[in-house]
Amino acid sequence: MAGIRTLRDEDGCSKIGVPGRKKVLVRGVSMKTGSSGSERINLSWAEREMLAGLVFLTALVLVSALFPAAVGTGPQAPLLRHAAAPWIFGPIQVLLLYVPPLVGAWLIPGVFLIFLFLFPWLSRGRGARPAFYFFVFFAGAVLVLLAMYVWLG
Amino acid sequence: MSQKRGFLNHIRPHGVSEKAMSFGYTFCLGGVSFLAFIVLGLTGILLMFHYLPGAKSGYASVTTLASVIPFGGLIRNLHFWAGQVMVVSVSLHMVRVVRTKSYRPPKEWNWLVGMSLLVLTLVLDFTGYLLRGSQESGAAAAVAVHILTLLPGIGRPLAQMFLGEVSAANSSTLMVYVWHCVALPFLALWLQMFHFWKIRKDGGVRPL
Repeated sequence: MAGIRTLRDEDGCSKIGVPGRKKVLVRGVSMKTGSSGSERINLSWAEREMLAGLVFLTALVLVSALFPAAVGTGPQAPLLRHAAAPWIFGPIQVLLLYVPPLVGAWLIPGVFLIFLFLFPWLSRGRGARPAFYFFVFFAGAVLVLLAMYVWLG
Repeated sequence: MSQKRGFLNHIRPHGVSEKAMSFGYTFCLGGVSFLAFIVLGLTGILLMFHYLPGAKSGYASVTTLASVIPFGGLIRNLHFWAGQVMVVSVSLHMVRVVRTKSYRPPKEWNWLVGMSLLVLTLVLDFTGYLLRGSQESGAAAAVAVHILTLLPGIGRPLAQMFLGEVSAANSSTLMVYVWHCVALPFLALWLQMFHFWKIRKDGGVRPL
């Protein structure tokens, strides 16, 4: 943190400042600002996180109550003739329909994964724009394959 | 003022930059992923009280949980949906990091941790799918073993090491159960703690 100084304004609100570039911080505790009659409560970052968490948990409970998770076909039932992969591996299942297994299950996903892992280094300097376009292309391809997976059932 | 550098001082700092807290910047995707992970952990522990891995017992305990145990269905639904949300939110979080160029130095090493977490999330989701013990899970297990054995030399040992004796008839093995309930979640938790600490460390916060 060399070169960074901690500052305080009149309200005691902390700031962190690099000379020539100041960053306002959201405090750890909430506080009231403004003159009487027009008071405004500035929520702390912890309170903001808690609010977002409550909204998320409420939505999750509602979805869970309304949409039960499937249990699938039991082992005692007549044998299935076709089984779809879980949707997260849907793109690979679609690829396996059109390309050899080694290419569809290892080569293409492997190249994508290695590209993603190395993305920060590939996108340095002149490589930034091509790397970004590759990322968009790969992400788009995954979405198209997912759509095909849904469409093919 | 002394700059405290401990883990807690980075996770619970005195202040966080306004930009890092803005909804339009983060869309809460990292936080949602972590919250989904916590829900998965808690509901997973509750499910473990009734779940028994095995060729017949796996599917039987899932149906018992879904229809007999009080609130078992709701807990299982929460576990399932939190898992789906986590896959989506972690993926979108990665897209957001690319959009805001938050992978640039000094954050490139944290990008690696995040990518590892994405892979772990996918594997956790897949092993959870296998533990359902249904015919669909069996088919997925058979495909996974086949894909792993495609790798010359190391494929078969890898399949044996990670999936054990899974087959189309039995996807809910003890090995998959231990990976899903113990090894992978603890590895994911440790990586997440490091991920958060590194975010704070790289982002500039004022310690407590």
